[in-house]
Amino acid sequence: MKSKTTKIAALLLALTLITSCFVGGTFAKYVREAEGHDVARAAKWGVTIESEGNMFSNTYATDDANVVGTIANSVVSTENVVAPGTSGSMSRITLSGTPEVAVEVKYVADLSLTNWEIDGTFYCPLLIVVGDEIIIGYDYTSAAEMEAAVESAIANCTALYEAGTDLSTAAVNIPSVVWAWDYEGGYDANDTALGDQAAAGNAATVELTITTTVTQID
Amino acid sequence: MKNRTTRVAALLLALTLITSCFVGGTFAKYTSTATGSDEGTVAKWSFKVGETEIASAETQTVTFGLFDTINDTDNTADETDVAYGKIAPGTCGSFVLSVENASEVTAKYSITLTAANTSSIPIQYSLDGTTWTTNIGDVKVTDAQLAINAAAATTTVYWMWAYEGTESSSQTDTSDTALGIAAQTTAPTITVTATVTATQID
Repeated sequence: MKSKTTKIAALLLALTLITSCFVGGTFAKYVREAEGHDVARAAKWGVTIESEGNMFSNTYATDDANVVGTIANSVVSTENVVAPGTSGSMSRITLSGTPEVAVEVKYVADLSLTNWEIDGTFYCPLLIVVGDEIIIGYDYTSAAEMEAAVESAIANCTALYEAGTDLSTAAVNIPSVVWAWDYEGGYDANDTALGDQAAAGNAATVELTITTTVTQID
Repeated sequence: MKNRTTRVAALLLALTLITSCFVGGTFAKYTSTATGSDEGTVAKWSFKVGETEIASAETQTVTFGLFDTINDTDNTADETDVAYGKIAPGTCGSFVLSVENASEVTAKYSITLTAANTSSIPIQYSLDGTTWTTNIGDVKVTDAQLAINAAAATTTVYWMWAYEGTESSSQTDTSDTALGIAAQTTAPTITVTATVTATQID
């Protein structure tokens, strides 16, 4: 009997305690509430690259002041050509965007010089300027050497930029590529030979491809 | 045993994290690429004198048949009073030099004449058939322009051995006769050479 009474008492105590919890939670307490909340969004990229090939032309204006009045263009062709006295530049690599991540702007160039040979000897009268670096064709004895020099100069424009850099500003290094074929280079016979080769269907050609890649830095 | 299992698990976890970094670096990042390319071809150089392409070699020989046609004084009718192919007082003629710029560049050309005339045959020259000179160096075309695809340009060179010698003070009947007498043995000759130089215009 005593045991039964004890059991009932224990049960009641337990129920009381449980009930007290609920009631206490409702009417009498200190309350402190804290909530942790955070939102993250993807960092902005928004980088655009515009790159157009416009180094060479099929028409070049006459420079000779004595002639320009009567003949406006000194070079005219159905395709892009180069000739003594012509020049051009590649100015259409345009970067824009302000990525919220650090980036590497990388330039990879592929210069192809074909048929710049006279009697088996490399002869390229082109002068190519990349930034402050001047590559003079006369200084090279093979197409491969000159190609490598130009490609290296362009690759050297590759650079890293901090997050938040406006890629459209002048602070971003974009390779400036300018070329020229000197009219008074002093090698008329060789220049003429290249023109003759072109007339014979074996024209020397120059092709430059620049691949611009902007990549997030981890 | 338990300690060893824990170490292996920790190592595997570390390797997994390291591998994740590499994979993440390779396949999960922002990247943009653009390629620009352009090609240029050497412009063609082609210049013709008559039908001869003179650009194909540094020195070319072209036909300049100045004395191919020998006319009477009026330069219209064939000379019938002089043996065929010979020149004499009262003969004249002309030759048309045609030049064409078939290049992809503008060109200019010059024509100069020289004469080997050791016997001083009193030939006079002209570019218009009106104004005459015995100084062949004065008969020239200097830096005439030819645009790309322009029509061929022609230059007519006239010559004359005057019958009366009024144009040349040094020409007299006596001197003309002396030349004719000399021809009985070794005929005096005159060789006129035309040099055409074509140059690209910048």
